[in-house]
Amino acid sequence: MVKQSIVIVGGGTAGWMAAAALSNKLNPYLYDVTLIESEKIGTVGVGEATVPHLRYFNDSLGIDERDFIARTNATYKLGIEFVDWGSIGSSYVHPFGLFGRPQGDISFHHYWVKAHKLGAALPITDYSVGAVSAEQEKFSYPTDDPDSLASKFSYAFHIDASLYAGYLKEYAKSKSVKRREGKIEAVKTNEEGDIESLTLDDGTKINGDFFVDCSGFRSLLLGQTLNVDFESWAHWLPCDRAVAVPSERSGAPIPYTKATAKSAGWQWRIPLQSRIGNGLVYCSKYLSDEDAEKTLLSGLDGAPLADLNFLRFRAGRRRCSWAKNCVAVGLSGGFLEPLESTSIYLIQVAITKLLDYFPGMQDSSYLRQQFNAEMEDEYKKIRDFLILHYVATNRDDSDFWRYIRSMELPESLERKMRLFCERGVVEQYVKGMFLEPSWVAVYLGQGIVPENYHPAVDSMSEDELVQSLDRLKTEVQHHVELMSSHADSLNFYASEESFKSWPPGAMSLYGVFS
Amino acid sequence: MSAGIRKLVICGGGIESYTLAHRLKKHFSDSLSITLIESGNVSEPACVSVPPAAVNFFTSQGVSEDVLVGEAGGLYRTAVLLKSVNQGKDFYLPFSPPGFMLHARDFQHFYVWAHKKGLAHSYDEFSLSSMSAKRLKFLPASKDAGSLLSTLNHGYTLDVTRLKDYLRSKFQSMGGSIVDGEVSSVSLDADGCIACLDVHGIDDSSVVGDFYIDCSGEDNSNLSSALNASFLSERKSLPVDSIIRSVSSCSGSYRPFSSISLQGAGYIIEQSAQYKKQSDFVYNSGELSDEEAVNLFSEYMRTPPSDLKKLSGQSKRRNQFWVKNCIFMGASSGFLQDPFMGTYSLSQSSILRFISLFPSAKESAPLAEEYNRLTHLEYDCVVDFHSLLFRVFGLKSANARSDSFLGEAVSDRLKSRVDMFNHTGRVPFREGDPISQDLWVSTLLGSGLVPRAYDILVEGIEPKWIADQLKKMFQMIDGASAKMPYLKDYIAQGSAV
Repeated sequence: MVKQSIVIVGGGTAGWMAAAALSNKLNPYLYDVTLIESEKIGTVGVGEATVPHLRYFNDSLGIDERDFIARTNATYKLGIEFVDWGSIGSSYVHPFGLFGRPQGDISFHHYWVKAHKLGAALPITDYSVGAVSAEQEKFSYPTDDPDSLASKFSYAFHIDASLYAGYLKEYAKSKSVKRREGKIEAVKTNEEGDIESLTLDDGTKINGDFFVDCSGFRSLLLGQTLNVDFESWAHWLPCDRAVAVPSERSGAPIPYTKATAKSAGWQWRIPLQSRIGNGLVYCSKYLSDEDAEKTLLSGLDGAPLADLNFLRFRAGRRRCSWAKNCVAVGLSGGFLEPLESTSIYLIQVAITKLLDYFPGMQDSSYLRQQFNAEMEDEYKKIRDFLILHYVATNRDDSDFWRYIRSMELPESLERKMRLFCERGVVEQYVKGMFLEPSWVAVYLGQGIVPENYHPAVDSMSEDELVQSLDRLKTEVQHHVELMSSHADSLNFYASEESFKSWPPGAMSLYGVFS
Repeated sequence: MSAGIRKLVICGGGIESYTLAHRLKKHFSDSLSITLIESGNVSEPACVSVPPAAVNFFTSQGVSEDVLVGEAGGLYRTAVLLKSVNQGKDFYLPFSPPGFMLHARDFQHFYVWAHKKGLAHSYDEFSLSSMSAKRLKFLPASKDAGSLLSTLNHGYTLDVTRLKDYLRSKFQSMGGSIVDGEVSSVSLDADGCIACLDVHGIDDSSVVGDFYIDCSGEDNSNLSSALNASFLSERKSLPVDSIIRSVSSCSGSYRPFSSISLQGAGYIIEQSAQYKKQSDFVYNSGELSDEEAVNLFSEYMRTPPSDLKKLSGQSKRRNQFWVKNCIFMGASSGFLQDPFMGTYSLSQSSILRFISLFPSAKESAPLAEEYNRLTHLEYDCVVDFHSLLFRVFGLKSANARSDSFLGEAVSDRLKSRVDMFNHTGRVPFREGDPISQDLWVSTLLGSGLVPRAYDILVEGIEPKWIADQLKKMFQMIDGASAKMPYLKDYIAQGSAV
């Protein structure tokens, strides 16, 4: 086999994650991996809030989780608290974990719905170890006893994304990835339309057999060079701008992200060890940049630590993520607002799938077709889940929310919502980031309670039902009481005294034993 | 719940009906009253083979292996023998996947890599369940996750009459009621839903329910004609339409597999439980007259033609499975032939799907729509897999002129899956597919279709190391299967304990 050169364009989170994973998996005698980045171009630094899948990514690179936490200023993350979404004044946690225990084939939420209708249920999050520990600002590793509720959650991190990119840069360089400084001035394609070489601003020409476009919103290769169309989803996810600013830490960091709905968008709050990341995602049609700035600053817990950073974007994706000899990883392939911390996940699955379907033997069009079909599925399922957050609401207090109420939904989401409203059924699928527990968390957390629960629930008497919920609540509280505070756990798990290794990562939002 | 389903009526006295009735009783105890209309002239198989998914199905229904393989006379099954498929060689389609991942890459790619370099072993020789099946040996999966035996998987060949009797008596003891007779007419209410069924039997009666399941297996039952339910033909993908069946008693030489072989213009599928053996000759009546078929099969079986039973077996499925307040299940939902996932296996997954979508009112458009969507997804995959199996063991319609592996009469879905395998060495995942990707890969590789490409990352691994790993794997699997007990002894031991 002739040595192949893989060229990664862009050195943000996506670029260095790709470089690290490719250099870990590809034999260096057969592949050269080069990453081109420019100090003159800033990075968005996406994904300060991550999801549990990232632990699987780190595990597969052989990264020590404790080292990773120290190097990225990370805190633990058990889920996201959504404030003012279903209605002003309401809030709930979407945990990385399950609610209650199923009875045979019947999911817990059916039992909860009946108890709720009887007026005998606490919020469903009270029956989830992941959610209650988040609310109480506690953290311990999930256990490995599949019978225990303490094994039914997982965790992720809040990280400094630029530190993570730097950390992976070191890793990738140690695995012989070459870094080239420079801005790309020109892209040359051959007669088949494949990308052949890139010319940098200093005149150097970089040849490549395969290109990974991590150039961010610009989509330099996939969009600008290969002219892959952008499919806009702005009519469903109308927010098109964000303004971000870090602020001073106040008190101990909490183990969850906060997402507060506002009059024309929503605001994030991400607690790192040293600071808090904040940002307002908004729709420019309903909110001016000046008002966005005011809203953001008035919602900070501490003094701002830097200038405001304004970003513009459009929800949607490139019609395909892989065209010719180029794969887009990260924002160059599509953008979905960070409401459920999906950016790094989408980077990760693009990289994993690229390695699963790595080209090079004969015609790669079949690999490309399969890769594109799977990425499209990932994006669309996430898209529907994000739209649900906006439409599962009573809010009509602004033009923005009134527009949301009037908009037509994707058919795939309408079907899902009809099923849930009718009988609490969550559409079944195996592949995808958000499965039943997540849909249940958002539906019930935002006030969509189904008309009917599963009829088999009625085979349990009302007294029994109330008692079993009560026992469950006690069990959850018991597990959470045994946990240390988030701050203590951060110190303890990082310390020398902690010989225990961390729980294994999995490609699941809910942990290994869920 | 005020408008809930209080009374459920099941039509048909076959194994599907009793499996469903027993399962629903388990779930709903007394909150649901169930009436089963047991029609007299049930024509059902003596044996049915079910894949590994049935293990969980029965466990969660509270039917233990002691029952299935003990008093109900079933047998463990770990593979399907495809006779002379690839240049005359037999292939054991295994229930546990062959080989192990290396460097987090799937085993199939290493196999294809080695095959192209002249590896002599066939794909099934890397599967513990194929190797043990071939040697007539059996062990259930070990619970020790580190053990090679933990990778084992099994399904069953069930004795239909015995299992049905067991489920029937359980259902009755749990308070289920059974009405003997035939449905003579169906009354609809103002919404077009079924209001009641008139049953003609020893005593004529009228059975009223909120919801109905038609498991009668009749092509045009009174329920389906009342609801105008129609069929879609699957003749193009599955070009057989007739079955000749022979049932004999078993001599006790237990085989942990079922088998399929090409015979003339059809195929023979043989399955045996502990006391019964069933052989079906399945063919296309357009290419073989019934008389020819009977003669051919009776010669093959060395049985007088009078002991053979002729059945119709048109390939078809319902347009809609759930219509108004009625679901068509089992043979009433269609017939996708039986080379791997037969009618009973499909009804097990329909039962689970029905329970998860159990309605809380007579009519529910969203639930019915979802049930129909999911059932079609599953049936699509099963049609494709059976259609592939037909081609693998050599069954092609005479009209199929093409010499290509698949011929012309297959769905675009199947074509694209096989193309993908051929060009990438991978079978794409489909949501709702009851056939695992491992089985798809085993079937394709077992048929001798060696893909043009495999995972390129295999090229980055030291060739000698891969070759050593494959050699070790084969030795481990060969050795472990040789040490396993014979199925016969395992069963004898089990009943002694």
